[in-house]
This record gives sequence, structure tokens and C-alpha cells, in this order.
Amino acid sequence: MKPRLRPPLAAAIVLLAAGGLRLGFEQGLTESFRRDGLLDRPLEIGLREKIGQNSSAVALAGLRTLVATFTHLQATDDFYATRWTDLAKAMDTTVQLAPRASYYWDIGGWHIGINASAWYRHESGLPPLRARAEARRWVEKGREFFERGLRNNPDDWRLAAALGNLCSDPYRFPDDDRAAAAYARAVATGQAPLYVQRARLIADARAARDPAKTLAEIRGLLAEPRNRVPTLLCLAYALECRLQPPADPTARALEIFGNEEKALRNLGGYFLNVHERLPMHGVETAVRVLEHRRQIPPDDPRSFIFKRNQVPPRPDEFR
Amino acid sequence: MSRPAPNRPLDPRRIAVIVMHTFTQLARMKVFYFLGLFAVILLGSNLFNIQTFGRPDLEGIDVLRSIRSWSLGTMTLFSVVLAVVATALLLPKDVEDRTLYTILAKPVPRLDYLVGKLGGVLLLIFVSLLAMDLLMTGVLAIRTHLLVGEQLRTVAADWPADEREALRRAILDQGASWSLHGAALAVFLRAAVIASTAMLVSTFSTSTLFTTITGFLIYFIGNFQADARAMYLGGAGTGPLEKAAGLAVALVFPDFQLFNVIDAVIEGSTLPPAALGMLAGLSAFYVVLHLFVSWLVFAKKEF
Repeated sequence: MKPRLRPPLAAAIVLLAAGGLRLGFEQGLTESFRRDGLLDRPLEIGLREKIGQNSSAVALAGLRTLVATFTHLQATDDFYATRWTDLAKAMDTTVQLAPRASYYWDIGGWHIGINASAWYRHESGLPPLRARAEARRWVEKGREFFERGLRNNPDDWRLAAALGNLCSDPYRFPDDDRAAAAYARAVATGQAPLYVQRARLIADARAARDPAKTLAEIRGLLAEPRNRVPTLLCLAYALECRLQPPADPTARALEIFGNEEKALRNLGGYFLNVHERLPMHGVETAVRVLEHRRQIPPDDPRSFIFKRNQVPPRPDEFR
Repeated sequence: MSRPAPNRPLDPRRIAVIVMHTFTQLARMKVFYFLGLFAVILLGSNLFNIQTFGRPDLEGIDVLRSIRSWSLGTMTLFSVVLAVVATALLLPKDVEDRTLYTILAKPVPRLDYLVGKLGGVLLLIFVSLLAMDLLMTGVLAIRTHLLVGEQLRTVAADWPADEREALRRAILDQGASWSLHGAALAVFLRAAVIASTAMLVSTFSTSTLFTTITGFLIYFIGNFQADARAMYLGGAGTGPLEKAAGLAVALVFPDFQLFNVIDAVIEGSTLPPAALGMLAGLSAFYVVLHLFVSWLVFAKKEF
């Protein structure tokens, strides 16, 4: 062999031998990083086509999240121009580039499920039936988007709570069972704040699958002073009335709320909140009795009974 | 009569002199002007406050995410370009300036020369990334503090205490963190591997342009290395030719995809010290390997 060929040949042999040494280690490390959520799957061919040659080159060069920032900017531009199909595509690309950024799933689900559906319902100019069908379709797309986000980020309580909010939105074709399941998932992460736990029980109460169990859980939450918020107190009262109406509604209301003034204020506010579709068992009776004790007649403008009659009914179009 | 000191390779003092010389040489090329550009990009990323419709609760998170993304993106770009170009420039420039002949005419082992040159490039990248990391951390810390106050005062003014706390935590999660410093270190480690690869190429290359182009090509191919390896290790459905091609790529090119853990940190994940340690170990392996192979080629090279 010519002497001048020896160094490059030796170099090649060393490189290949070292390559053989590191092959298994690198494969193991890649799998370990993917398992721990530190590495994403390689870009698929379809996605490479979507983001274009230049962007995919940039994304492949370790700047994937930066390309996601640009596709997100594109989605924002589509939002301002109400190009909802383009927005959905841009958000889809964004979350494929950065699947663990819950922010993108959150804002994408919001745009698709809330903004796009509202636009189709009210501003698209379509005939009413078609507009309603389109609005429903976009709400469903939004929910699916959140669910995909959850599959990529199973420990993210915020996404689960966002899905729960969308499913229990009274103006977005509510699905109480799905909402309850989403909130339960958020709570199961062990990181959700107390208000999500309250939202789960409210969704459970709406779904009315097992009122006795829901009531027991509400009582458990009420043991924590920070959970003694009006809605939960009223819900406890309504569920109690549903399971076993109290012999003396006023006495029970006073036990739960502490005093007559607070009982009337909270139950009255809850009674007016018709669009939220909360259980109302025994609430009207309690409000009437409490107002009677405070000498407020039902036709008095201060009366919650009077105010309730002024509340417009929930539009059918969202049911 | 005293005998001259043996001319052993890897003398730290000798290497330190070459490192500092290379660092000065590169610094005189106005490389640090990039820090000014970085500061402008950092300030610009503060202005990407675009989500003003309907979701004010996400505005703070968006701004901080934008700062993280732009900062680490710029660091990556800077370090990759500098690692390839600066390293590609060094040997040909020393030949052109005749500096190489002066150095090699002295009792300087060629290994020390290579280590010193690479060390100079890495020191320059490290100092630049450190400055960028400090700038990013400072901007993030100030912006996080301002955003928490602003959001709690405006958006969450009448929210219940636990919702306010959840928002505060969500914003703080996007602020400065140890994982972010870890990501900056991963950027440096990747640059070290690229620089050592470029050095290896430059030992047998005849021009700066060739080394630069080849360096970038290797970097891009290295980002596919995991796919190539998967193709080789993949079971049924992969032909023998495909397997051989996959093996060749996997054996020759460094795996740069592993360093993309940086993306996970930008997205909000925590970078465990063990993962960073693995990356540091792997990078050290690559740098030592590339230096050794460079020396094999460079040791007997005639100028």
C-alpha cells in the first residue's frame, strides 16, 4: 500500500470502529429520550411537504420549535382573516412540530372549538340549519384537537381542563359526560388546582350519573374552606334536595350557608343562572321561603323569582 | 549540561497558548458583534405579543415562550455556523499566513496544535453562548416578574385565589430555569461536536469552502442519523441495500438529533441532569474521536 494512503485508511477504520461502538448506545439513548418525552418522533414526509422545503431544512437542523413559531404566526394571521380551514391546517402543522408545547394545543383548540364555531354560527351568513351544523362540526373539531393534545401530553391538567370547559360550555353543544371525563382526567394528574376539582363535580352533577356519589364528593371538597364557593354550596343543597328533600328547607339552607342573608344571596344567584344547566331541585322553594321570611314579595323587582322570569330562555340552537 | 525537556504531546501550557491565540484571532474577526444582533432579536421577541383575542390568560405564557424559542434558536444558529465556519477557516488561514510553518517548525506536536485550535474555537463559542444565556436569563427574569404582576393585576384581578395561583405558576414555568441553562449547554455540546467534525474534514480538505459546505452537509445528515440507524435496525420490509446504506450513515456521521432535547425544554419540559450528563459524555467521545482521527491524517501531512 502507498504510504500516503495509510493515514486516511487508518482514519476511516477508526471512524467505522467507533461508529460500531456507539451505534447501540445512541439507539438506546434515543429510545430513552423519546420515552422520557425529551425527543420527538422524526418529521413525517407529509409534514415536510406541508411546511415546505426551506422550513423542513430548518426544522431538521435542530430548529423545530422555531419553525413552529412561524407556523403559529401563520395561524394567527389566518385567525385575523377568519380563514378557519387554513388556521386548522396551520395549527395542525404547529402541533406536529412541537407536540409537547401545551400552549399550542390550548390556543389551537380555542381557535377551532370556540372562535371558528362562533363565526360559523353568527357571522358566516349561511342558512340557519347549515350554520348550526357547521358550528357543531367546528366544536367537535376543537374537542378532537384537545383530545389529540392530551394524547401527546397525558399529564397536562390544563389541556384536560380546557377540554372540560369546551364540553360544558352552554353555548357550544354541551356534552356533560365528556366534560366530566375530561375534568376527571385533569384531577387524576394530581396537579390540577382546586377550581378544576370543583368543575369536575359540577360537570358530574350536570351529567347526573350518580348524584349520591357526587354529593359525597362535594361534601368532601367543602371540608376545605377555600372550596366553600357559592356554586358548590348551592349544588350541595340542590343534590340533597334531589336525594332526600329536607323537612325544613330554611333550616337546612341556614346550616349550609351560615345565615339567612347569605343563603338567599347565594341560592338566588344560583337560581338565576339558568343557562348553566345546574341541578335546581328545591332551589326555587328555598328562595321563595327565604324571600317570604325577609318580606320580599315575588313581584318585587328585588325578588330573585321576579328576576328569574326576566331571564331570556337558553337558545335552542346550542342544544 | 541540562537536557532539553522532552517534547511530549498534550502539554497544557502549550495548548493554552494556542487556544488563547486562536481565540484572539477569531475575536479580531468581530465575531462578538453577533451578540448585539442577539440582543436585538431578544428584544424583538418581546414584541411577539400577538394573542390579544379572547385568551388574555395565555398572553404572558406566549411572550415568554416566544423569548425562549427565539433565544435558543438564535444560539443554535450562531453556534452551528460559527463552529463550522471558524473551524474551516483556521487551518487554511494558518497555511495562507504561513503561521502554520512557524508553529510546526518549533517543537510543537501536531496533536497540541489541533487541540489548541479546536479549543480556541470552543472557547469562543462557550464565551458567546454564556453571554447569550445570561442575556436571555436576565430578560426572561425581568419579563416574567413584570408579566406575573401585570396579569394578576389585570386579567386575574377578580379570579379566585387558586386560579390566580395556577396562572402565576403557568407563567413562572415559562420563565428562566435550570433546564434552560441545560439547553444552552446542550447547544454548546452540539457545537463542540460540529466543530470537531469540521476540524476532521479540514485536515484532508484543500479549501475553506469545501470544509464549510461539507461541514454543513454532515450536520444536516447527522440530523437524519437516527432515521438511518432505525432503517438499519428495522426488521421486515427493509431491503439489504437500504440496511447497508443506513448502517453506513449511522457508523460515519454523528447523531445530531439527540441534541434536539433543546426543543423539549423550549416546549416546557425539564431536562434531567442525567440526560445532560449522557449528552456531555457522548460529545466528549465525539470530540476525542474526531481529534484523534484528525491527528492520524494531519500527523504526517506535508505542507
